[in-house]
Amino acid sequence: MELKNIKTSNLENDELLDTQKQVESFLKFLNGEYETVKKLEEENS
Amino acid sequence: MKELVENIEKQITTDKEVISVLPRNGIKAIKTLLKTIQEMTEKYENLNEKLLKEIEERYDNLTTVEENTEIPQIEQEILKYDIAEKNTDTRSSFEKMGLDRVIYNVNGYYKSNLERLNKELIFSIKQFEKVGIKLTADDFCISEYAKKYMEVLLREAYNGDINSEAVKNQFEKVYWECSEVVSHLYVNIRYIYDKYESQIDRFYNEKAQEILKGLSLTVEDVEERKADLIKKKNQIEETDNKNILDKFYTGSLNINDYKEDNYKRIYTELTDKDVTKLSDIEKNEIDENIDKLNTNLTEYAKYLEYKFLVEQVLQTRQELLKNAEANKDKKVKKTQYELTKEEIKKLQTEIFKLNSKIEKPSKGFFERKKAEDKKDSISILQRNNLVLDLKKAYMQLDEEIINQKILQNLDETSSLFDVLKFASSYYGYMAKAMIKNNEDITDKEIGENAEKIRNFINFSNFTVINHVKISDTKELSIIIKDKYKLLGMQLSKENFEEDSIEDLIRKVRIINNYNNIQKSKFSIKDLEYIMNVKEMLKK
Repeated sequence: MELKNIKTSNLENDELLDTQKQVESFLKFLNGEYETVKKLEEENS
Repeated sequence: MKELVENIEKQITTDKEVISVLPRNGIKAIKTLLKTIQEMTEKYENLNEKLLKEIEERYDNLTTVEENTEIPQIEQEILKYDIAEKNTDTRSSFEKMGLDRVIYNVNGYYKSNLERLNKELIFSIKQFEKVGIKLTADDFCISEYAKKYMEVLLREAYNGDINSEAVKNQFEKVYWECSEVVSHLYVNIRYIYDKYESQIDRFYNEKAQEILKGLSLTVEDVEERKADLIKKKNQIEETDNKNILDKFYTGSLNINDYKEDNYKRIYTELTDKDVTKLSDIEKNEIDENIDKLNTNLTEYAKYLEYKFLVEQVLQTRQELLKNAEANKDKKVKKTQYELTKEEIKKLQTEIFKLNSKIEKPSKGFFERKKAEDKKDSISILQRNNLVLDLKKAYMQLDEEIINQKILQNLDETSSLFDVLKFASSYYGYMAKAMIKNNEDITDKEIGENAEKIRNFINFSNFTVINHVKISDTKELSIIIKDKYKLLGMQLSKENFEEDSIEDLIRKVRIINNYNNIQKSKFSIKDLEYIMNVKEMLKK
């Protein structure tokens, strides 16, 4: 599934809010992972 | 849940797995992983932005509500009839001018401050002006102190600063010459009113006739029109989109109370019916009763706040009736009211007689004899004592007026509303009852409460206390409870007890508000969405 093709207008109000929460939480996860891997990169260089 | 939501969830899970399985050993693998995370972050940030945009757009669409133009129009109409009512009701000109509040506050100056005193004095000057009487410092002729102070206050008021240094200095100066100067001002305002009373009465009579003629209505018609408009306004507001939204925004309504489960539970508690199993006709009938109960309970709760006033009037009435009964065989030529009026007249004459002596110029302009000075001082002292006696007489007169009016205006057929309205018409009486009810109340709070009571009287759509007579022996709560029990509502005496009444009111209000929301453009889900987004976006 291509994220950019998602039609947000097809979501119900509560679904829209839930999805945004999940995306936001995943972005936090990605941010955390990036920080961890970045440290790993510094240690290895 | 929709397929789309499931797909997004699946995608997130997959991407999470990708991150966790990608190798992290060796600088090349780490660089690849960082690139993957960055690309993924970018994609999800785009999606997040898209979602937030959609959320905000929907929020804006939902919360864009037109102001109901009918409400301000009705409010204007209500005010028009309210002004008409205030100018045509049975209160005396003294109360119509608002002098009852002025003299209470001037009298209680020692508890207040100079700024407030000045404000009240200037207010009274303006009120006299409104009825066609332009006052100058010369009208404050009860004593040289009152006149001297008013000369400066009026001059400074003309310059736009009633609390200027000049006013403060003058007060200080006059106060040390006569520490009872405020009592002199109090007496003077009352004297001015007495002097012009017939002219002021004529002004209000003519104004009342003019207003009623202009509206082509009777006094009763005016009251009825106003009541109908208030009812109409309340009805519109109950289902008005903006009004509903504002109540949630300001926190006066809490969205958690309006969850469907809560609604169903309270509905069953109040009606013993499962709301989902009711036919439309049955539900409409019950909802109509809940609406009426809500109106009645709101009025009842407000009435409880001011019940002490009604009780105070009724207690005074009982005492007066008892006294009248005890003295019915005694032949009385004049009433206490008439005697006090005569006393006031006598004191005024004596004061002005002494004033004319004090003000008389001495023979030698520069060589005032010591004996004459002494004579003047004695006259001033006598006059000052008489001013204090006059003040007492006026205060006695206020009591007599209230007593007389209680007996004249209230009888067994009077309603609780009549009594409350009566009490609210006399600021001083209301203030004394408030102090009796709460010794710690401040003058500022008295002022605020008096306004609230008067607004309650003037701008409510009464359905209970205007029907219940003072001779009714049943408690008001029982009257309400019995009525709605007959209509199938699950109410008990306990619901109306001090600890429970708030809970009952809250529950009835939730059901009624829920029903009203259904008649607006919003669903409960819309409101949940709005409140969630408002919190989320800190709107």
